[in-house]
Amino acid sequence: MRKIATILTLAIFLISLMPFSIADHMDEDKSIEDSREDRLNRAEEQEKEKLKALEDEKEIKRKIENPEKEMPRKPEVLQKEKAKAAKITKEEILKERKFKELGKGHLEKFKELEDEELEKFSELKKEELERFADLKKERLDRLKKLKKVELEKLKHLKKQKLERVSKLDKKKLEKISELENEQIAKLAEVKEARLSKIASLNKEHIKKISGLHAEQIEKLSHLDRARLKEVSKLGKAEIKKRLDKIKIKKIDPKLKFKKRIVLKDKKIKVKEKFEQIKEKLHESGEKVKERRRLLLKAKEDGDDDAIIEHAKKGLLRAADAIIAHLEKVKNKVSESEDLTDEEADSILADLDAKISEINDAKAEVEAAATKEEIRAAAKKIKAAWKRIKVKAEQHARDVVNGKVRIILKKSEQLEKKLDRILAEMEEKGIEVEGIDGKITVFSEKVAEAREKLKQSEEKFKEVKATDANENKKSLLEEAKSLAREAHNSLKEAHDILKEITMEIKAAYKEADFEEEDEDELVEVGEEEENE
Amino acid sequence: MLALVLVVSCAPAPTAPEAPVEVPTETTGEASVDEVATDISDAVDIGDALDASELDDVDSILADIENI
Repeated sequence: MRKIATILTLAIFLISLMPFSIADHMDEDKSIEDSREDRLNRAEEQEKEKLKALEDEKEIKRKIENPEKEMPRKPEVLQKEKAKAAKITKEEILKERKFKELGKGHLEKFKELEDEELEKFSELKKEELERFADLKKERLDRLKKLKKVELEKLKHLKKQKLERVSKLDKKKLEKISELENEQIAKLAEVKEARLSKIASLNKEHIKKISGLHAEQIEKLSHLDRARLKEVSKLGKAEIKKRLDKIKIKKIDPKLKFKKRIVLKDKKIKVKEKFEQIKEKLHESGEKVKERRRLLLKAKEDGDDDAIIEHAKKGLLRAADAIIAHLEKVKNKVSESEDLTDEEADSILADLDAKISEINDAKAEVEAAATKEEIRAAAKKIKAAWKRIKVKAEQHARDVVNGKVRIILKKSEQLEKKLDRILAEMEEKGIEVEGIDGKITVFSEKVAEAREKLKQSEEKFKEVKATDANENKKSLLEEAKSLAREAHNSLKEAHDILKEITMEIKAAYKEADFEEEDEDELVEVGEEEENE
Repeated sequence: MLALVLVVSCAPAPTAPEAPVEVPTETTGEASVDEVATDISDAVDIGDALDASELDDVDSILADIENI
């Protein structure tokens, strides 16, 4: 019985141990199964990663090849993606036949480029690559910063045109590269400084201009900034119409906007004479004043002899003053380089005739003995003076307006000079903040002066055409006032110019204001509207 | 009384008319630029020199002599 009990107890104990053993065995099996599953999962994940990497690579390549289809992405993300793709292909790019066929110097230039920069050139043909490699390093450095599509727009340009375009700053290059190939080629025919001026306009205006014929673009490019801006706002048909009226003339470098050269010796003599005449006029004026005082006193006293004496002498001194004034005008006409020889001779002949007229009247005064005769002579001189005064003023205006006209031309030339210097600075990467805007303001002030002078000259034409002396007088006043306004605008323009000059000199010490390239010896003339 | 003293003491003292200040014409050191400044000033001088207003007394005396 005890044995049976012992066996039963042992059996129960053994049975109680069974679940643990089964559990242990099951755990062992599960662990093997789990690790197998993990391995499979890892392998699957690795496979997926590989596939994803391949997909990404394909995607990046596709996006680079078709950037226009690409949705806007964060630039840094795009750059990383491009860099990743380029990194893979840079060596391959350089291994391409067209690169291998390049000369050593040319190839070196491309080797110096960063991976993603080189990739931008990868689609170009051998001869296109050569044209880019021919550029100076700093110019290529500027172009490599462009986007691939922008750069490809320039690949058709021939050597000289590509060089011109490569001198523009990045902002202007971006604007230009948005145009069609043919439009870019037409704009690039224009010289650097003028191309840069056009490229500083807004995109819409640049596009409009690039749609014109090459000859029209060339003509337009010679206009100053104010006129260029004004014309580019017009419709295409109106631009053509306006351009037809504009004439670009080469000027004589010896004359430089002057109509003639007056020799230095003559100028000195004329100046000395002017001082003498001025003195004479002053003396005559003083004598006239004194005679008038004495005449009024004699009239008050009722002294007829004294009246005759002071009236006669007063009349002679008045005639002297008129002659001195006319001599003064003659003197300024003689030294004016803003009149042609013919114009000056014609004015001088007219003034001489007026002087003779007054001298004849003087002879009559000297012969006069009675009050009546003196009164008659006074009437004659007064009438002549009224007429002569207006005419003399016209001649004086011819001299003054001629001077203003030359200042205007010189200011237009200075704007061209600034454009040349600015283009040099642009190429060298020298920037002066706001300088472009200041030159535009300068140009607009000069344009304002040009318009006022034009209006003044139109009034003068009216003065010359009218017979009525009173009308002449008021028209002359209007003309004088307009000429003064023109002069004031030029003064303001010059104040801005001084500021610009100083700023340029501070930033670009090599700026040469004395150099004159062929563009600076060109004059823009505009035909009058004939309606 | 005090107010009167204050008013008198605060009244602005008569100042002598200021002499016109000669403003020096700035030059840039660039002949082509400074030449235009000279031309602008010359144009004013020529305009003044040829002005006939100096002959106003001539007009007056001629009118007086006509009426002797």
